[in-house]
Formats: sequence, C-alpha cells, structure tokens
Amino acid sequence: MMQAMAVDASPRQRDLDLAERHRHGDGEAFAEVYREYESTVYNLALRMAGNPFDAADLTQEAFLRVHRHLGKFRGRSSLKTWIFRVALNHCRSRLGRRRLPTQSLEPLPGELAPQIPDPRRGPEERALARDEGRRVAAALGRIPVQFREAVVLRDLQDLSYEEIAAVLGVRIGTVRSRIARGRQRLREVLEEEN
Amino acid sequence: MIAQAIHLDDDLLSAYLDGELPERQAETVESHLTDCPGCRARLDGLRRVVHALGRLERAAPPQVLAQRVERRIALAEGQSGLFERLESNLRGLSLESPMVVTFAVVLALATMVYLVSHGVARQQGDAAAPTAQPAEPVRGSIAVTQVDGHSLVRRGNAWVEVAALGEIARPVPLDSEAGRELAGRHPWAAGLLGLAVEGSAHEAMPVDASGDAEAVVLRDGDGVVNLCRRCPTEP
Repeated sequence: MMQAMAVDASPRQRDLDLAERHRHGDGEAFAEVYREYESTVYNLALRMAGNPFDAADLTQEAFLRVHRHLGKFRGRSSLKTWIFRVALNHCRSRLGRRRLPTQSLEPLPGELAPQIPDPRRGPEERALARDEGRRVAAALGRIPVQFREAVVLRDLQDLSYEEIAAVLGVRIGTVRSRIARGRQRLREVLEEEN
Repeated sequence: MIAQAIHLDDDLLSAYLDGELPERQAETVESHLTDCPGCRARLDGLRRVVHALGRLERAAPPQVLAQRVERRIALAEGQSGLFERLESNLRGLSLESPMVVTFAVVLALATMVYLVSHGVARQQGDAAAPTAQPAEPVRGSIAVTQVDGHSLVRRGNAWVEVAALGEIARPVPLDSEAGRELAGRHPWAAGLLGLAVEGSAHEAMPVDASGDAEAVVLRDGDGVVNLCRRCPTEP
C-alpha cells in the first residue's frame, strides 16, 4: 500500500512533502535529499572546479545552503532544478572570487577521488578510459565557464534544455547556443592537444 | 527552409544531436545532411565530443563528506538554537519588567565598551606595520588564518587547509600561483604564520581538528606539534 502511494505521488508532491517535513524539523527529510543528490552535486562541482578538494568544499557549502533554505522551497521548479541552481550559484560565487589555476594534463589530485568503475569495461579499457577522461576533464577546464556550465549540465548531468534553462535562468535559445559553442570549443581544445 | 548552400550552424547541429529540435526542423536538417558532407563532418565532430564526455566516469564523493556536512549543520543549528532560546526567553518577559530594563542597560553598556575598545584597537592596528602580530604569539604554535572560508595553517613553505580527523589536508604550496596570491593578499598573515613550526613541505598530511579552529591539533611525524588556542582574526 505504502509503495503504491509512493509510486503514485507526483515528483512535485514528493518535493513539496520533503520541504514541508524539513520545515517541521524532520531531520530525515534533508537526509533523503542529501542521499539522493550528493553524488550529483559533487560531480557537478568536480567538473566546475576541476579538482576533488574544491569539489568537496563546494558540495559541503552547497548542501549547507540547501539545508538552510529547503524549508522555503515552494515547488515553483522541481527540487532537482532548485538544487542544481543552489549548487551552481555557489560554484560561480566561489570560483569567481578565487582565480583557480587552469587544469593541466598532468595527473590531477582527482586521482584521489575514487572513480566509480563501469562494470562493462575490462581493466585495460578502464585504464584507457581514465587517461581519456583526464584529458577530456582537463580540456573542459579550459573552456569559458558559461559554456562549461551548459555542457556539464547537458552532457554529464543529462538535463534537458528546458531544465538547463531553469537552472541557469536563461532562455532555451541561449542554452542551445552555449551548449553548441561549448562543444565546439571543447573540440578545438582536444584537437589542439592531438 | 534551410538551403544547402548556407550550411547548418553549430547551434542547429548540436540541438539536432540532442533531439531537441521540433520534428519538422529535424527533418529539414536530415535532408540537408544527406547532401552535405561538410555538415556531416561537423556533426561527427560534435558527436565525438559528446561521446568523449559521456565516457567520463562519475567520481564517488569522499566518504567523510556526509559527516562533514552533518557536523556543520549540527554546529549551525546549535548556534541558531541558542539565539532562538534567548529570543523566546525575552519574549516571555514583560517590557515593563525590571529584568528587561536591566538586561537592556547591560547589553547597551557591553556594546559600547566593545565598540570603543575594538575601534581603538583597529586604529592602533592601522597605524602599525602591515604585518600585524597576534596579541600573544606563542613560539611553536600553529596560527590559523581564514581565507575565503578556509582555515589554513602554514607548514614549511606550504599552506595547509585544516581538516577533520581522518581527512587528508590540502596543501597549497607558497610557490604556486594560489600560494603567491594568498601571500600577496595577506601580508599580515605571512608574518604571523612565520611562527609556525617548520616542517616537511608540499606533502599532504592528516590533521586532527577538534571541531572548531580554536583547538586545532596538528600531527606530523614527530607527534603533536600544535598549541593554537586562540586563532587570530584578520585585521
């Protein structure tokens, strides 16, 4: 019965329920949100900052903001979009203030962050994928932030153009243009390195 | 209609790749691609980029991250709880109550004393050399400085971020761009941090912090070396 109710509940209603429970001091509500979005927010921060140290800090601070403001969430967007917006705004504000060094092609401290291995790949293929991944991640760090945000949200977080527009607070046409230009720049950077 | 001589722009190709074009526009793009090898090559180039991004593996967040978040929330809630309790206690008192009047007078006096002493100290600090020293420097202590919300200590020629027990502290070498920027922006801190115990540099080291920066315990190969009791604040 409970399971059927959970399936029937619309995602929006579930988001609102979480916010309501949080407002009334139910600690488990935030814990649920954290469990669901920790990896997403961390990976967003990792690709924006380029290293796991900043990514961990950014994730922590973003979730503190989520915790502080979750009670005010009114469902005007989905909780997912809202959390992305909170996290990305925090990344922008922190990374904008600090001029982070651009990423190099040397092994990054990112090596310290355990990757989640794809079980479909063998060890050799995984090693090659790691090298390739390092190269692509470094190239990503070399494209302008506005384009990087759009590409990361689309190609790594799998958001639709509509969702990205809601996260970034821009029109869909702008999203389309930023994604295209970001991919184009990425292609140029990768080709330069070849 | 998209004429073949014009070619498709990147926005269109990229949106087509994502399946984000309306059906009729997508058909027009497909029709153009059939006869235009140049646009097909550009589409392939974009497809390779998307494919490469799709092969980036997701990283697992550090295991201690959830604990860190939990600890910070508990700390924040503890502080707000204190204010809420104070507020609620005050709400329970009548405005005419002698206790309220006494409290208000004491609070006002305390504020005045703080502002006057703080202002004087600030003026004296401004007149002094830019490398202000902490009031009671203790040789061998680790001074902690706050930079952009990070607690940093100087170890040899590196800055190290104070981390919780079990975490790996993050070194920021002084000869790195970030280190130079840090030293450039905080010359007072460079003088202050000169008091830090010299040690091995450039290495990540486990740091044991007991929750707040006022009682940091830093361990290295020689054992516990820190005595920082009161952390300096930025002048």
